[in-house]
Amino acid sequence: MPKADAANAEAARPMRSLLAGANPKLVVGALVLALLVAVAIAAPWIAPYRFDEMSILSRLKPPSLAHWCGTDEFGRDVFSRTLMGARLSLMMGFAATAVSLLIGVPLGLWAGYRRGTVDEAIMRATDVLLSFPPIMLGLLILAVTPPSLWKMIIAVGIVYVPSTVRLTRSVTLDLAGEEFVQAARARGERAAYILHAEILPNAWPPIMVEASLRVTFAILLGAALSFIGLGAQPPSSDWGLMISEARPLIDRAPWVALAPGIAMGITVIAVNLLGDGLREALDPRMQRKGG
Amino acid sequence: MTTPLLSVKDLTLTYQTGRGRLRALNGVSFDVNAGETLAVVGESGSGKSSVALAAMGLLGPEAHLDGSIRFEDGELIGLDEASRRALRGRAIGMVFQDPFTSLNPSLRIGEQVAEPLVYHQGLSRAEALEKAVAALGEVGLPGPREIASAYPHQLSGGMQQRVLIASAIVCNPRLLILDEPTTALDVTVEAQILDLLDNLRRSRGLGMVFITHNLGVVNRIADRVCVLYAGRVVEVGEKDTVLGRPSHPYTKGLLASLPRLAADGRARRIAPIPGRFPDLVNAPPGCIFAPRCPFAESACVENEQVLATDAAGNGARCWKSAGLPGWPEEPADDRNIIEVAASREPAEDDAPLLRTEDLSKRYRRGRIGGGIEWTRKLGVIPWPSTRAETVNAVDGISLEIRRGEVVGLVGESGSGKSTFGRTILRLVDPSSGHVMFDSRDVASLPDGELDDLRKRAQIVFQNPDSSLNPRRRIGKAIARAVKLQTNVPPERLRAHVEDLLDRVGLPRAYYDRYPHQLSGGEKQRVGIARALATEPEFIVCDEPVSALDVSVQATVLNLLDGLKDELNLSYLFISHDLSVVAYIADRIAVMYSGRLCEVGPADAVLQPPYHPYTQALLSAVPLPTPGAARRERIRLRGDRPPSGAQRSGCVFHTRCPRSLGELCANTAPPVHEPRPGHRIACHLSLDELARDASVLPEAAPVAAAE
Repeated sequence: MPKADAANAEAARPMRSLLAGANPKLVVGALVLALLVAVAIAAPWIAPYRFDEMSILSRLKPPSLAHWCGTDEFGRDVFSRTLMGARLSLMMGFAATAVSLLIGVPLGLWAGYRRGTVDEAIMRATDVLLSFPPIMLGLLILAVTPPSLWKMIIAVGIVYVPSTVRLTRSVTLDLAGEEFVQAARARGERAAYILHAEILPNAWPPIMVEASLRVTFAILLGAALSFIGLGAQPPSSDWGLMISEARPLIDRAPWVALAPGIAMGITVIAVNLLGDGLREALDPRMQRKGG
Repeated sequence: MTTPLLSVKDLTLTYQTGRGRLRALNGVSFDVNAGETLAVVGESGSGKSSVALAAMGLLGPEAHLDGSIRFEDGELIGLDEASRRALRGRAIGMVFQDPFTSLNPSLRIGEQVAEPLVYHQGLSRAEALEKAVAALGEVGLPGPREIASAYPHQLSGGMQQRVLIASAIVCNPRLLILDEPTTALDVTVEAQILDLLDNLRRSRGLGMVFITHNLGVVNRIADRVCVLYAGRVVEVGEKDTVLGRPSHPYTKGLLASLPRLAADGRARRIAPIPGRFPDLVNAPPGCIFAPRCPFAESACVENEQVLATDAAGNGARCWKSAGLPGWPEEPADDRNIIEVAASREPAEDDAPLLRTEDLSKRYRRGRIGGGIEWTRKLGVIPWPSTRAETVNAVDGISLEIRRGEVVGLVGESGSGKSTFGRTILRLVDPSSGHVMFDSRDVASLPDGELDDLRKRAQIVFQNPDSSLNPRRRIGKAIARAVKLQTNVPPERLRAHVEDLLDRVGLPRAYYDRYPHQLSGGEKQRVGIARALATEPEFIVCDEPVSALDVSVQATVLNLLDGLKDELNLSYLFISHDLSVVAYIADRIAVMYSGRLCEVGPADAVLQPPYHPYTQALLSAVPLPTPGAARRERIRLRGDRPPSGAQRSGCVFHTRCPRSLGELCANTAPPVHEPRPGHRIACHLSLDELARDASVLPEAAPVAAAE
């Protein structure tokens, strides 16, 4: 079937030149995410209504031309609130994930490489943290001080530190036995160098994939904390808060939960595509041979 | 002549890839008769495993098969799944390479062996189990009934392989396909399995297809041989003809690149096959071997070769095979022989570069890890106490390595030889004993003060895939070592690294490559270049050629040998392969279960008097020389026992064929010194040890030269 092959190759060529060999997952994920961030930044200017503008006359209206995604029980425009909610939610998700990586990855590397007492101490500490339900842990951290956004980000970040530590540690344990790590030790490298230059680049892929899932969990946990009044304060909007508020109305006005739900879904898919794409793009083995 | 049991005709296997069609097999034909063993030999990528999978119908849906595979007059290609299942296991049995992953870890042995009986013959569970036990007995497992109720992890590798053979023969198949069944096993265990297979073939009249890369194993088990290269049969014939008087240049090259054990110690220099394995997508026109063939001429490149066989079924796919000379020796021979001769007598007076004194490494499977044991306090109250389990990986080894000397360390898997290599480099901290490196004890230095050792002693690893960081360019990896341990100025760094690549025979452009773009042999060269980067005096070579194909192994061995002479390096050369060690080492140390049983100059160790273990090891090594298959072999019983905590007496006494009983079990053996520098630890007297004849054949004439 050489003819068909030639035709396929012909069709593939313009595609390739357009993307210049870039990873399609990476491109799509980055574009969608960039769009989401742009929308979040521009929300006050592009939203058709103010997010906290109430209207008693148009309560729980289904989607229409005036209100694309309908209105909630206070007559606020769901579409505008979703746009504004992107700010808090994306901030929450990414910043909290960053916090958990910043604390969790070094601890995991250290525990996995050093083993012994250090490992035991870190792992037992994470076990203790893991035994708390996430909400309780968030509460513990937030309850003693007045709520504010940055505190919530740190609280949610800390909630996800234990699982990051565990994952990083298990990956490190495997890598530390690899012969290239032994070779680095044999030429007299310091532990810090081995961890950041030899082990970390190879440990990234699974950590990245997990972190991209973590973003969405962080958004949800942020929402839960908002729901009990420790996070985003009403009337400010947040996807999680919107979904929690819409829960009692789900049978009468499903559209109130639908818009933030879809937004959250798009975010999850985009983040996962980006994570996957990054993993492939950063892995020299996945690139075309003969370079 | 009867119809063959299995007849493969013009088998072609292609895969559609992004770059075009890949021909994994190209016109492969062979026959196997009942009661006959056909060995399919080839290096990795030759397609030898694909032949087995094609016959079993186990290739994936993306594989495209042409040609014919007939089993007892039935065509196997295009057979539907149901009839295939009826054949698999019942008429054709298969044994895979790795016994450790071929058994299901969560099923009892008995159930796994009985399963095909229940499925194929509709026996009840109890009847099937009964037959399974009988089969386990037939493959020589002691206490088959107990073994049937054990789980795979409770058995050793050799026993697991026997179990796999038992489950392959339990339904009385007529054909057995074995894909590298002994590659993962130690030589002494391999010898047992080969004996077993040979007996089964004789008692049951089985036809066997034995796939292997090891020509020594071929010599021991095969009747006929089929040599595959790049998916093509390049030579077929009777075993003695192919191994003794090979016709195809590739077979000649393979035989010439094997280091061979001979009674006179040092083997002749091995001649590798130059070049790289061909690309199977854009295969070269004409003879597939022409780009690497020293006899190639323009006619070879232009014309496709045909496999011409004579009346006896011997033949080669080479138009000029009739009048070919032997495989050419390396041109650099003279220089090497002279330098080798010089390096064989290292100056006695000069202090050794490295000396270990009573070095030990014990692993303690710690408190909770060892499990919990219930004891009774005051005779009644159950009281948990933790059990600690000790493994003596290295158990009091004293060995010295002089400057410019290669000490070979031989032992089977689990003997502690790798741990020893890593302990002297302080990659593993010793439990007790001393490591004197250039008269300085490095065994107890804190990590921060090891800079001198780190610069002067390096290591080359076994596995080319794991020894290089997949995310680093080759050049960067080597440059890092140079920057860390030498004063090469930054602007000279790249040129310096390229010089190193040059030195190990790699193109300078490889600086910017990633490890996955290199072949196994090339990666191993990078590993060597990286070890040389710190300008060391001493290198631990930890099985550096074990993962490589024979022809590549030869080039890496020659490279290591050459570098040693050029740079005056000392090696501790660790290997399980005696032929390789005998080829490169000046002195050989034989290790068993953490202890040394014999140390001495290479030629002294290879000749009587032997330690009984050395003798068994040497006699178990399969040699590719015709006739060597019939030599006397010493068979060891069972497997190596765990190297537990309390060990008095000789560690080898449980398997020793010449054990004296009580004495060997309880008293540590005395050390005999038949020659200065040659030490044997054994209770038998020297006279008794010396009584045995050499187990190695006299230096054979170079087979390929005929």
